[in-house]
Formats: sequence, C-alpha cells, structure tokens
Amino acid sequence: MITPAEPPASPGRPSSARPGRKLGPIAPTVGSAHRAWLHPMRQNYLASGLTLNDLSTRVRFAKSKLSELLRGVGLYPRWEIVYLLATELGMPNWPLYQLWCQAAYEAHKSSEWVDNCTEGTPTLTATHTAPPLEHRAFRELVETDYHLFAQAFLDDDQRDAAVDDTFDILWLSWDDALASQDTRRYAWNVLRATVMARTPHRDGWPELGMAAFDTVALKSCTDPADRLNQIAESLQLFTAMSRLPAHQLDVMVLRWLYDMPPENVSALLGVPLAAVRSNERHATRFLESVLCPPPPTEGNTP
Amino acid sequence: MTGIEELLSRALLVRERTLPRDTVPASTPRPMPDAAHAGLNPPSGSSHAAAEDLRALCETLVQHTPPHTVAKFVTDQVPEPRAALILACVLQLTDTDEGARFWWQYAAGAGQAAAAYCLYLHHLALGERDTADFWHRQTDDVQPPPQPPAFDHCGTWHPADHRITSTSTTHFMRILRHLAKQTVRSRPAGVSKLMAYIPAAVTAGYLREPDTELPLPGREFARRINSLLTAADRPSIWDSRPARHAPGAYTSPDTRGVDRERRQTIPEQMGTAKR
Repeated sequence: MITPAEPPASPGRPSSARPGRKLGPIAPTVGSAHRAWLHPMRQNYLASGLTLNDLSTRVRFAKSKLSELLRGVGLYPRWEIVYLLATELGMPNWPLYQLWCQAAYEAHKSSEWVDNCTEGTPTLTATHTAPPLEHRAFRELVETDYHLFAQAFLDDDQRDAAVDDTFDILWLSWDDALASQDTRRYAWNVLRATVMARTPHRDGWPELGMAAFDTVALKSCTDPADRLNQIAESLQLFTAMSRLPAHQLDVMVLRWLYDMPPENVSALLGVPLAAVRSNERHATRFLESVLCPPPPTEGNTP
Repeated sequence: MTGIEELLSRALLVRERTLPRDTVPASTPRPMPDAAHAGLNPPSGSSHAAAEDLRALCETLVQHTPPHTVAKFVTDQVPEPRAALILACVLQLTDTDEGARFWWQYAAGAGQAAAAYCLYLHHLALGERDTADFWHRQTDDVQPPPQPPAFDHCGTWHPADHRITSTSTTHFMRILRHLAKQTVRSRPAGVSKLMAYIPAAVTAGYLREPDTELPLPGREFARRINSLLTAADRPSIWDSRPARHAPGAYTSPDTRGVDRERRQTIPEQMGTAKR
C-alpha cells in the first residue's frame, strides 16, 4: 500500500533534530488523570533528546509499545513500564504514581490489578521523596484558597482529590512552572483544568448550580418561603455565572462567592490587579444584562 | 449598591460546609473527559485560531513598524497611541497580555483601528465573545485622527499607518497565518531586547501602582525604550525592506488598495524574517 510520503529530511537540517517520525499527539480518548501524567512525561521525553530507539534499548521494551504508551493509545500501561520510563527520563516517582493510580481507576482497572503492577517495583516506597521545598511552600500559601475555588464546583471528596492532583501535576512539571512567566498563574491554570475536568458540564458549561445550597444568605433564612426564593435566585445567578468566560468566572467566584479582596485575587491568579478589576467589570456587566435587564420603555416613544 | 451588586452580595458561600453536598453519588452526568480542554469554553476551536491570529498579527506589527514610531512618548511613562499599540504587541508576544489589553484600549481610543482588532482577537482567544464582538464592531468604527500621517517619510509601508477594517483583515489574517506556518522566524535584535525588558518593567509598574490600569512602567521607561531601540536601530536589522515604491503610494485612503499592497508585501516580509 502506498502511503503519503513524508517530506525527505533536507541535508541542511540541523543535526539536533530527532531522527525518525515525529511523535503523534495524545489520543483524544485519553482521560484527564491519564493525560495529567502523560503530558509531562511526553514533555520530558521531547526535552531529553532521546529517541524511541534509545529508550527502547534502555528499558528493554518494544519501540512500538513505547510509542503507543506516549500517545495514550492501546491498553492502559502497567506501572512497571511507566516506572522504568520515568526513571530514564528523570521524573519524580511519587506524584507520577499517584496520578497513574488515579487514572488506572478511571480506566476501570481493579485495585488488584493496580497492586499487582506495583509489586514489581520495590523501589517505589524508597523513592517516596518529598516535593521540592519551594513546591511545599507554595502549596502552603495557596492550598486553602484552591480548596475554596474547587469547593464551589465539587463535593468534598472530589474537591480534595482535585486539589491533590493539582499539586501532584505541579510537582511533575515543577521546573516548567518555575520557568514560566508567573508560577502562580501556571499553577492556577493547572488547578482550573483539574477542577473543570471533574466538574459536570451541561451544554459545555460547568455546573455551578449546586453552590446555591451553600449560600450564607440561605443559612440565615428561617421562613421556608424565603428559603425557596433565595434558592431560586441563587440558582438563576449561578447558572448565568457559569456562562462566563473562564477568566471572568474565576474572578467572580473568588470575589463574590468567597468575598476575597481584589488584591488577593490578583496574587492568587498571578495577574495584575487591573486585569482582575477589568474582568470583574466585564462579568458584572454581562450578569446585569442577563439578570437585571433595563425596564422596558412604554410604547414606541421616539 | 446597584441591583446586580445586591444580587451578587447574596451569593456569598459558606467556607465550611457542614452538610455533605449531596447524598446521591455524583455519577451522572459524566465530567468532561479531557482536562486539557476543560479550561476552555465551547468554541475552543475558534479561540485557538484567534490566539494564533493574534500572535501572527503582533509579530507582523512589531517587525514592520519603524523604531522611531515606537520611541514616541507623551510623558515619561505614557507612549503615543501608535507606540502603545506596538508595545502592547511586544507584551503579547511574551505571553503577558494583561498589560497589553490596556495599552490596546488606549491606542484604540486614540484611533488605532489595528489595536481594536488586536483586542477583538485577544478577547476571542479568551473565549469572551461579547467583548470580542464589541471590539470587532469598533474596528470599523474607530477612525484614525484627522491629520495625515506626515511623519512617514521613508516611503515604506507600515501596518500601523493604515486604515484597518474587519473584513479586509480577516482575509489578511488567513494569508498571514498560512505563511507563518511555513517559515521559521527570527526576531530583530531590537524586538528581542524589548521583549526582555518590557514585561518585567510592566509587572514592576503594576506592583508600584496597583490602582492604575494603563501600565506605568516607571519614570525611566521612555528613556530605556529609546536607548534599547537606538542600540539596535540599524535599518538592516529592524526595517530591512527596500523602499521600492514611490513615496505616497501607500497613503491612499482606499482600503482595498491597502489590502492589496498588504498581500503583496507579506511574502517579502516573511522572506526577510527567515534570514
């Protein structure tokens, strides 16, 4: 069968280019937890300058299987091979293992299967090292606020899992986070993606309606009729809020749902105060246009 | 307190939930399968395209605006509108686009239609469709200041000098993006220096003056920009296009003519950049 030929490598091409075919993208069917560890692993592989051939020789695993693993196609990979690859690529084992387990359960693997995979790697517990000091310090600074944000969308268990995953992903890609323009913004984007991956979506918008049952206003209502009215109002507001673009939604959740001062929001998100205020203004204007439309004018006055 | 603010003030959530949220297991509906796309709103395809377009447009504006235009300042810290347009593009290229938004707004308010178009792409890339639509309309409404651009005396074509309309620009962006895929671009030294200096200066400015939206990168900003540009100001590295056309040929108000010229110059620009 004739397949479309790849353009021949020009002789003038720099020698640093990796020989062989380019690694394909991650398969679209790969779930969020799986993607969470696969993406940093691919980045490390691409940055290492190794070829699949080199890796194949080092970890004694078929090249085609490695290619499948790095693209997320085929069966969910066993921990032994992921572990060997991580060691070759210099990735910290512990956060990787956490995410790998998480993804294994998402891929409907049994806990026996997970345990069975792990038995072959006795070094795992020995390499249960602590994350870098800066990572721990950063976690201490932002974890409470991250919990609050996640809590608006998720139940308690999901919230804890999402925040833990966020810090594991950050640990795996900590060098990238430090090298980015703003570590806080990098970390926030990871949190946001992790929380949203666990948040049920309706018509493509995240569900925020459940938060209507957690308002302070509702807790202070005593009359059942008031309570119903309050729930109805909050539901309407949160549904409108969930339609906001990502940046505006984040600012509004922190500013109004948790009464955080703009300065703190700016520091947490890693964006200038001016941008926080601008996002809040745009979002408020949108909500106003949806929820408090101007009263209709009488008749067709010129 | 306005109506919407009252409504929002009643949205405050308790920080400690006493009751578990739901006794029904949250198995349905299924969460989004893909974390990588989860941060984006539904029209993620167009968002991505907008981000690419914006980058290509910024590259073009930055590379083909003469340094003397960029170095014009109203005060020590406030650039002239055309300079603000370019400085915002430099910020955008370093992925610190929050400050860029305000410089573009300032430039658009002063009649730089290209800035309005940048804002359109910027908001579209963030998934903010309403705001994007507003700036898209503004692109056609923004009128350049009445006086003719007499300062352009070297006879070369500069994007920021010309009237930009949303329709002509859409076609132009398509071509630009297509060409950008096929070439490895290297930036002139001056641009690289600006890219190294401006984000830090703007961030420091925001820390110093948190209540001001327009970036105020410090008293020495104008002088530093000038010195960075003079150090790198060689016609061959910043603006290497030969002045083949007669002066005045590009000042025609006919936008279709401008658009045609634009199309003709793109391959050359890319060719120059490839070196």
